[in-house]
Amino acid sequence: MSDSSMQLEELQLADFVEGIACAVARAQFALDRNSAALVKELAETEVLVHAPRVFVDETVDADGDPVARETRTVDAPFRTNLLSLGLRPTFYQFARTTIDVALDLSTVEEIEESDDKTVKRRKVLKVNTGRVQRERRYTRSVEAHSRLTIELVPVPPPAALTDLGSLRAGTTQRRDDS
Amino acid sequence: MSAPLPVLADAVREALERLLDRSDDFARAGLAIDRLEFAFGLDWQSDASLAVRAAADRDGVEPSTTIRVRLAARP
Repeated sequence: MSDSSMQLEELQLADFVEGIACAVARAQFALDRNSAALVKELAETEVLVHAPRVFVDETVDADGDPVARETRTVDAPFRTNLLSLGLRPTFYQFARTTIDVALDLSTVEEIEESDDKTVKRRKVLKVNTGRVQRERRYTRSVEAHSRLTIELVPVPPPAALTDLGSLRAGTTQRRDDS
Repeated sequence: MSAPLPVLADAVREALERLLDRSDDFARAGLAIDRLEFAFGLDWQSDASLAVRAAADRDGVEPSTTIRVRLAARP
């Protein structure tokens, strides 16, 4: 079985910074996708509801002002989905994320040989946390060298989702042009 | 091997460029880089050049460099 979580000994500094920052972005994207999937699931889950529904029929004049209003109650079971019943998933957002990482630095000379046998030498900074981990393991130091602080807060769902009306009651308007 | 300052500066520049290249990913997630801090342990070398000191160069193994990345939700 291959080990997909193999620890890398060294990374270029740019790779490291990009990796930790993009990990948070990926996590936020996953949270959003999870909430969106839950909205879809709620919309696709139908239930039979035994409850009276109140409908308001309104007649308006040419200016849009109501001239008549009639309320009727329909007392019969009806099918609707969970979203229409008012169930909403909780949307979360990484309000603030701080990642402090303690590192070992080393300079490595990278040698690139092109097809025409030209050799290009370049010094690059490599980082790793191997020694930090060994320190903790062998000297039993319990001091934390790296710290991740996450502030995850619930946020209101998108406005269009909030505005979805309940199917249990409704108002219809009819224009009176007589 | 110690790292002369230009190598250090080049590495930081490359890290920033990488983050800028990925700005679409951050925007899609509703996040923005709020703060990026690099705290490098530096030493004067015998040839009077300022250089990065790797943890291995010292007696202890306390890391000499820390990186802080702070992301915040976009307004």
